[in-house]
Amino acid sequence: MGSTVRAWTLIANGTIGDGAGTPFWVIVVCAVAISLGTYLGGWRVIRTLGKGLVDISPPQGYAAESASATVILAASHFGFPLSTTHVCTGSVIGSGVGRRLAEVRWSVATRMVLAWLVTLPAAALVGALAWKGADLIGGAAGASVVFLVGAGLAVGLYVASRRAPVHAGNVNDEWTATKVGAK
Amino acid sequence: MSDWIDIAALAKILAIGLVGGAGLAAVFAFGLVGLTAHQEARTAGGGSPVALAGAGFAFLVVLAGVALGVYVMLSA
Repeated sequence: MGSTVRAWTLIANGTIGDGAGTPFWVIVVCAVAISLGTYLGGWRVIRTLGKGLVDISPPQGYAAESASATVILAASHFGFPLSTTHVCTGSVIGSGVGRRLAEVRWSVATRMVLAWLVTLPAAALVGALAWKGADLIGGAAGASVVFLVGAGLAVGLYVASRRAPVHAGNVNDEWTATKVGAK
Repeated sequence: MSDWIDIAALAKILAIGLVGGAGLAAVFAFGLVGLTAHQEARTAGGGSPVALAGAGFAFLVVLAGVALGVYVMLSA
């Protein structure tokens, strides 16, 4: 999905022609970015989905994963883009509801939905600011400045996340009000 | 409302998701139940061919479902 968006961007920019397929390097760059994101933030996501939202057992995880795979593949087959995150979260909540309704932490689910609602306008705002900034400075210098600002923010977020790291050693610890790994 | 939301497509995905996602996982679970029943009968001395055959059938259904899904996607 991300690579499709990049292809639209490139078409809009006139870098590649109308109707052109996604260039291979765009697919590689997007795949690397997505993999890096999972590598750096994966444990945190695993903890929230598998322990925070519902404390799932392996059979529930299996059921949730197969349901996610089916829904994502079916929707992609019909040509509807959808978010793997949303589908997986729905599956995990479903597998928790199916076992015992009270086990689902709806406060965590509510926080996730709020984050999703904020994401759309926030991404629009960041995109607009990045374009405006690059356009004001102009040319390769503008693109470089925007890239450096983005890289700096990313490093800042990573450093902030290290204050309460989630890793293989504490990913399955009991879910409490205080963050795991916090000192 | 239906100008924005394609109800028919949503219903299709819901139906396929239920059959393929929940359905296949349930059939797989029945296969595991059969396998466990056979195992318990074996430790008791006998073994249960009916349970084993049922488990095999359930796993075959799951494999066939996966193969069908892959076939439908690749043939599109």
